[in-house]
Amino acid sequence: MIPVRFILADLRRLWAGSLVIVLLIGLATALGIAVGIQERALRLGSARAADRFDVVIGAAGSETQLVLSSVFLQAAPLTLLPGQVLKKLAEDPRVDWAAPVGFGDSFQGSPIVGTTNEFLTDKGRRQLLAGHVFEKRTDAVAGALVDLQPGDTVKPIHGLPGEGGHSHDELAYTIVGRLAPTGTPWDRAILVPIEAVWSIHGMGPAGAHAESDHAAAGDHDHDHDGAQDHAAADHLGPPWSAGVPGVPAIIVKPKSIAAAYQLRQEYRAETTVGVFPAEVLTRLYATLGDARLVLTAIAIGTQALVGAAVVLVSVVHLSQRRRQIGALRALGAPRAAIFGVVWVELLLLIGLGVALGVGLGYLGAKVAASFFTVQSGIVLPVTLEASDVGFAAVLLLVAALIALIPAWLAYRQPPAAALRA
Amino acid sequence: MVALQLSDVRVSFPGLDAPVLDIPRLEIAPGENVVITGPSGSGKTTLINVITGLEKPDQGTVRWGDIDLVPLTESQRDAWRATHVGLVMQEFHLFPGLSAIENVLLPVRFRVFSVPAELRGRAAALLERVGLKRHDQRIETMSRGEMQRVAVARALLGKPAVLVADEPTASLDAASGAVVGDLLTELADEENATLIAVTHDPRLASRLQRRLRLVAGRIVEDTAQTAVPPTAASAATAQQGQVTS
Repeated sequence: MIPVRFILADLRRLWAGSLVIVLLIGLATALGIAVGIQERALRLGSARAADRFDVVIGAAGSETQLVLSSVFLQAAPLTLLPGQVLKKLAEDPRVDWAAPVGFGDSFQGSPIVGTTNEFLTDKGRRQLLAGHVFEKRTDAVAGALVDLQPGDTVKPIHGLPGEGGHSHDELAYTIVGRLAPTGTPWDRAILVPIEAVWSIHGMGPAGAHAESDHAAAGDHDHDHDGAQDHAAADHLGPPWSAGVPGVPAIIVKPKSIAAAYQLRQEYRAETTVGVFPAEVLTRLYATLGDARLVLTAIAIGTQALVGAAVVLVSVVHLSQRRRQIGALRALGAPRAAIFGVVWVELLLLIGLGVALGVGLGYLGAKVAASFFTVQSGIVLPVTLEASDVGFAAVLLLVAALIALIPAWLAYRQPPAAALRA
Repeated sequence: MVALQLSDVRVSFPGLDAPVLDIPRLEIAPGENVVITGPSGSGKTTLINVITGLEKPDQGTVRWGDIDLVPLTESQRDAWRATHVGLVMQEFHLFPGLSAIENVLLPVRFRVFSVPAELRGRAAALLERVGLKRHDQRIETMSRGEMQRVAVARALLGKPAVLVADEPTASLDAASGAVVGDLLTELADEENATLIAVTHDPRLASRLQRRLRLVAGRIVEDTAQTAVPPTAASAATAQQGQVTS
C-alpha cells in the first residue's frame, strides 16, 4: 500500500524542488504541443485564406510567388499580364467573374489593392459590413482589420507596406465601405478600383488626370465625342475596353470545376501561368512539413534533456533521502511500497508538468497565432486535438518508464542506512 | 513471546581485517531487558541491525523462536520485522507534514489499505500513555522529547515481541531523556516485550536488567547472571516521569 497522505506531505515538504520539476516538464511539453498545434493552425489558416481563390492567372514566372502575392498579399514585383488576357477571361463563357488585382501602394501599413466590385462581393454573393461598393474611382473599401471608417481619407504612398516611398499627392481615396472579416490577409488591405491604380501609375487610356477628365466628361455629358472619355473615366470594372492596361494577376472564378481545370490548362502557356492556389499551398506544406520535423526534433531533444535532468535531480534527491527510506524500511514498510512511493511521487510531478505543458502549449500557440494574425491578417484556427493529447500521453508513458529508474534505486537501497548516524 | 538465539554470527566489511561483529553465541530470553554498551565502532549498531533483520550476517544463524532470519529474503525480513519488532531510533525518523497520530499509524499504512478502527484506537491510547494529548498536532511543531515519545508509541503499535531502541535518549536533554527512558522500560514491561537498547545513558542503562558490553565486535561482558530487579527508588522516578504535557 502507498499511503496517500505520506506522499502529499512529502511533496509539500519538497515543494520548491517539486515546483521546479513541474515547471521544467511543463515548459518542455509546451514546446512540443505548441509546435504541433501551430503547424496545423498554419496549414488550416492558409488553406482557408486560399479558399476564395479558385484559379489565379499571372505572367509566366514563379507559381509560389504568384500565390503569395495575390492570395496572401505578400507583394513582390510581378511581371504584368497584357490587358488583353483580362478582357479575354472576363468574356470567357466558362468564367463567372475574373477580377484583376493591382498592387503598388500602401497607406499606414495596409496594402492598397486595386480590383473590381465583382471581387468585393463575389459578384453579389457577399455582403459588405457597412457602406457600399466602388461607385467612383476615388472610392475605397477597407478590409475588416483596417482602422478606417467610411468618410476617412486615404492618401496612398507609393511602395509596399514598410517601404519608404513618395506619396501620391495627386489622388486621395475616400473610404465608402467596409468588408466583412474573412480571416485572410485581405482583412488588412484597402481595396480601390483597379482603374484608379492604373491611372495613378500613369497607365491606361485615362492617363494620370482622371479627375480632370472626369470633370470634363461631366461637362460634355451629352456630347457624342466625349462618350469614349466618359466610359474610360466613369465606368468601373468590366466590360473592359480593347486598350485595357496590364495587371500583375487575375483572380478567376470559374463556373464549374471542369472549367477550372480547362482554364488552368489553357493559361499554362508561354507567357502566362495558371495555378490553383490550393495546389501550390500543398507544395508549400511539404516544405512546412520538413520545418515541422526539425522543430519536433528540437522539441523532443528538449524533452529528452529535461527527462535526463529530472532523472539526475531525482537520483541526487534520492541519495539525500537514504535515511528516510531506510527508516521506512526499518519500520516495516515493504520494498514494493518504497518503490511505489518514489515512482508515484515522480509520476505525480510529471503528470502535473505534462498537464501544465498542454495548457501552456495551447495558450502559447494561441498567443503566437494572434501575433501572426495581427501581422498577416491570416486567422489561425488554434485547436487542441486528440493527436496533441496523444502526444502528451506518449510523453507521460515514457516519463513513467524513466521514473522507474529512481524507483528501482530506492527499492534496492539497504534499510540499515537508517540507523547509522 | 520469542527467544533470541544467535550462533556463529560474523559480519565483516570489505577492506577491514577484523570482523565488525563476531558473536559465537548469544541468547536473550523472552521479556528480558538488555542494554548494549561499548565504545563507538564496537559493533553495537551492527548487532542491532543483525537481530532486527536489517542486515544479513556473513555467516551464522539469527533465530527468533523458530524463525532463522539469515536465509530469509529481504522482503521476508521486512515483513517479519513489521510484525515482530518495534524500533526507536536516535533520530526519531518521524515524518514532517503528518500529525502525531498519522506518524504512529504510518508503518501500518504501508501494509494495509485502510487502517482498522481498533488499531486507530490503540494508536490514540498509546499516545495518551506516553503523555501526548494533541494527537493531531503536526510533528514538526513538537519538542524533541515529545517527538521521541511519538516514536515510542509508533514502535509499540503493532504489539511487537521485541522493542529495539538505538540510543533513544542521546539526542534529548536530560529531563526528556529520563521520561523517554522510563517510558521504554515501563512499556516494554506492560506490553510483555523484550527490550534491547543501545545506550550510553547511565540512567537508562541502570534500569535494564542485563548488560552486554561490546568491544571490537566481541561481547566482553555479559551480566546475565547478575540481573537485579528495579529498585523502589527508580520505580518512584518512573512515576514522576509520566509527564502529562
